[in-house]
Amino acid sequence: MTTRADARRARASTLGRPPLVLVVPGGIAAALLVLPLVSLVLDTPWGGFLDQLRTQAVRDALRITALASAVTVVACLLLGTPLAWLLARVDFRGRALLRAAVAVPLVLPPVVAGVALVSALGRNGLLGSVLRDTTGVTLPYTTTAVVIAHTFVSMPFYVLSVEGALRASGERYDVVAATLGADRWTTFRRVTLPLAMPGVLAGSVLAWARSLGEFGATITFAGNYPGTTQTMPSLIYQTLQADPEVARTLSMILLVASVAILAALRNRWLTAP
Amino acid sequence: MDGAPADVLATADTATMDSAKSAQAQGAQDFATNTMVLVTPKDNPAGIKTFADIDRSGVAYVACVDTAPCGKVAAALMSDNKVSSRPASLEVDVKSVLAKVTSDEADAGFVYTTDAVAAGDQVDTVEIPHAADEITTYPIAPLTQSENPDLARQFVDLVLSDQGQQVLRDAGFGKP
Amino acid sequence: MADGAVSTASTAGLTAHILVPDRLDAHLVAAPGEVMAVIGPNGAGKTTLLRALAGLVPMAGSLTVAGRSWTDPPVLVRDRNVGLVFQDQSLFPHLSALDNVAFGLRARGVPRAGAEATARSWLARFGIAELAARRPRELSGGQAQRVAIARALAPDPALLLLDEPFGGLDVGVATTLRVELARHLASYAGIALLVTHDALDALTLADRVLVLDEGRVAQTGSPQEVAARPRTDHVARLVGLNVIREDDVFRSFSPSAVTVSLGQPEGSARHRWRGTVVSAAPHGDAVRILVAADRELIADVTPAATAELGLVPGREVWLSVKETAVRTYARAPG
Repeated sequence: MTTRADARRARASTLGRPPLVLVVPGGIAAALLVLPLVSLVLDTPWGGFLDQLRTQAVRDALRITALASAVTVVACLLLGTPLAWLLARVDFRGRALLRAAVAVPLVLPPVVAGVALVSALGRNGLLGSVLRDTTGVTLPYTTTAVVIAHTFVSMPFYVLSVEGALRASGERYDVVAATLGADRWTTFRRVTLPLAMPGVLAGSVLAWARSLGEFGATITFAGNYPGTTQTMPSLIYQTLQADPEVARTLSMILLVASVAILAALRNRWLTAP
Repeated sequence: MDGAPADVLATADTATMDSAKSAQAQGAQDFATNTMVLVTPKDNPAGIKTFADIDRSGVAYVACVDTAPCGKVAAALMSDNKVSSRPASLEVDVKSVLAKVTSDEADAGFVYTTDAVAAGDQVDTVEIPHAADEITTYPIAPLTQSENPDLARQFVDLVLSDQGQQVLRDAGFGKP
Repeated sequence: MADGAVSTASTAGLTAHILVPDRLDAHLVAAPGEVMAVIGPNGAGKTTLLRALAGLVPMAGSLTVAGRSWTDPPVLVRDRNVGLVFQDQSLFPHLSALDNVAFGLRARGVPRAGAEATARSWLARFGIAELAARRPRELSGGQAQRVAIARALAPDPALLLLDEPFGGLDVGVATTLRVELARHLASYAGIALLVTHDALDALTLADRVLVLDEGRVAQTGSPQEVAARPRTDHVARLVGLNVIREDDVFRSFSPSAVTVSLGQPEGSARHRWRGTVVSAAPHGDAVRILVAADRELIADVTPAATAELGLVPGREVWLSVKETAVRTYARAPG
């Protein structure tokens, strides 16, 4: 039996030591990523951790965040997967334009995303005013609005990831399925989607992570009220103004929760080959 | 306190100044006051004529979060006036409250008189009963860390002068 | 092909005029149960022909299979009832061998249990029943190609299209698989088209050979006929013959009938050429040399003669062949 250290030594003896020109910048990148997290952990007044966890505001915010991120992932799966498929497999007019538009929320400052959502779905928005006039329903200040904001900013990560996977797996197997008599829906279910599954999982995790940290679009479009629209990041931001110590603790709660879930997922799905 | 080097500190409430006093700010003087008003979008879609109208069901109004000074005042005024409904949203600062109202995404919002003045005819203003009981006072002080203590002193004097006070009056601030 | 067989083909078999602009213009007739080998040099349009028949390449012209037109109105790939075997197998990597073979049946609405039972029997027929649960990456090249052929045959296609099914396989594996395929094709009632680069495939598997050259049918006939009287350099090279085109006839002769000498040959040899040795390589017990004269010719000589004459690339030589060793046949197909 060979241990991992043995394998590492064997590799070093065959290929030589990793060159400094790669090790040094790699190390700097790692430090940049890890150092702030370590500082946050060290700076956190851990005494208040459990007390904070018990407060109604934190529990509400955790609940809204968990709900919004879960619904966001489901929305990505149900709506984003077909969009990714259309972009990857159907040659229609304006496809390049649509693909570019789908990617725009990636580079949009979240607050601008919120403003855009207000102009579309706010009560005087393009669609929002129609909705209000016909049904009396207004979206802002509701948990639905939180989910919409989260989906808006998270969906591009999902769609681009899945579209990439669909393109990588190629149309070849779709063609094989067609020669075997499969219609496009059967082909999608039994061939295309299973082959793109790594992209679906990676995209889901990206979308979920983006949703967990979402703040700007949510507070601009959905608002901020405990129990209905206040997510953990919103709570952290407003607490930061009044009590930075508590805000640190709240940040740790969000961090611990996300890392715990990521670790659980990693064991099941994300194990690197 | 953590923070940027500065010469003068002016704060939006006395509590913040108090927390700074021990550290750096000495000899704080009040230079202005502010009171809260309710603003509605120009065409006032919810038909809010008096402050009590915000308690009607279906009226979406917004205020600051109660961790911000503007939120503390708003919360106190709601309590003073026995408002039973809840805000639709608690914004992180008063500018966000005003933005919600001017964009007509909220029927009403708690802002300072100065914000209502600055917004001009984009908003209509409704007086809040007992607003005078919840006056916000703004203190100003030169900082001991200042590298230009004379200039800092002169700036504070300018703010407190008749000329400075007139500028503040025009913007809607009250007398200290 | 007797006239009777052709008229059968036009109703129950395949009649096609495949027209792909700039690539292919080929008439094609095949009877049910017939195995047709399609040979020709690279770029001749062999794969295009298969893909057009499957509906994967847009084509003009006409295509009728088993009495039904697939072109008027156009029939989608999935409704054509073809079985396509790809050179690289193209097995679904995420499905087991069994699920791969059952896929076509399931896609056409056969319930799972029935589809799996049929798939299992197909795997058994190819002697790989015990590999049913394996994924394609756990199969050898030969095993994977067996699964691919079983997958194409399982839904009982009207048209079986095999695109170089032994390409990329070891010679030994290809030989075994060729024998197995011959057995399955013998009991297959539909029409099979086999694209191949290998004369052996055409000779052992096919009832008829279709030679494509530059997008056109250069020759059709029984394998023996085509091998004996090739009409294209490519086929001549495939079957190891020299072919010379003269006015309205072809003349072909075997490389072993060619005499190689350093000086100009004397006597009765009517055909002689002067040229340069391009290559020399072992061929069975002999050495086959390729000579560039006014055309490329091949000659088989003994190893002893090779050494004696110093037949290395670059060597100037004379080639000659006796008239009695040359077979002459008409240029016009028929």
